[in-house]
Amino acid sequence: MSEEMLSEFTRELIESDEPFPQDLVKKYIALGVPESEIAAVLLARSALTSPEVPLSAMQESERRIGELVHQAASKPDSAPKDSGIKRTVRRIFRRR
Amino acid sequence: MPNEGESDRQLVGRFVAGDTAIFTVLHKRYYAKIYRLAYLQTNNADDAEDIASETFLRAFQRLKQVTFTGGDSIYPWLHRIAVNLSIDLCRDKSAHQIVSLDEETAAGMTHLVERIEDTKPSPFELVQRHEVQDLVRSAIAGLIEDQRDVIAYRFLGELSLKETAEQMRRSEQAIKSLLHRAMISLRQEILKRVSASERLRLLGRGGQKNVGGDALRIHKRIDRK
Repeated sequence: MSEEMLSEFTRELIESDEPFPQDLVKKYIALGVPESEIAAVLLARSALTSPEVPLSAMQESERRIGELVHQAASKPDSAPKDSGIKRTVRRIFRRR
Repeated sequence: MPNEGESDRQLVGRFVAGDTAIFTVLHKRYYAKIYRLAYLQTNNADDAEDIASETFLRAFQRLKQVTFTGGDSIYPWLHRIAVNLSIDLCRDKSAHQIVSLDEETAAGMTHLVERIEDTKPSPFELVQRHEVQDLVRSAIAGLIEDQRDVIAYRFLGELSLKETAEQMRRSEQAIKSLLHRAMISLRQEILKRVSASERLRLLGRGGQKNVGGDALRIHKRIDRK
């Protein structure tokens, strides 16, 4: 039973997007979920929504992806290739 | 035009059809999660940045091969790439250190993991303190693999119970049990680390600053390159 409710608490916490939703915590304490387990969930969630991502790191990664997108767009072979069978059929017809 | 409301599966479909620019939407959607996963693995901002960047470069090159095993999210696939890169980077390292807490925070944490009500500082304040978040990340990193994975899938990747079960090839009920066990273990790991922090703080007291400092340096085990 505790497993079920802890799982529900986790789901609602993720959906709430708040570090410490008091009403939710009170609700699940009243439902009998041990406070120690609720605390562990709150701490895990908070720890994994941090640290702040450095903007410069994200921008640098975006820039590198942008280069790949640009390269892919300028490659002539980025268009879908014909299958081997189609190419063989064309070659045979060209010969005739 | 990229539509940010589209599912990952739809975006991948467009990418495969030749719209490679769509990848920027996936990058925006998952960069922070992958950075934080890498930070959890390495406890180092520079390494996390390198791993996150490399994860997306590899993902771009291999996106056409992605297979969705349950759900529409590519998070599990990115997660695996990032974890493999982290393992390669950290093979010979012991990344997590003992986190130093002040007396008030240590007492608050010991109280919080027993009883949320009447905790001082308030639970709201405690869970947002950087040193507490560092300590909890270190505790998560100290868990056994399946417990660590279930926490990462649920809290970082925000996968549903069903998606987590599919990724971990278990039933939903088994995932609920695993999550429950993971939280009990996490609490124990947190308490262990709070005690370690207390011991270090006490060592540093009473004119034994150097002893404390040495102990801190020894425990930090900075094996970085």
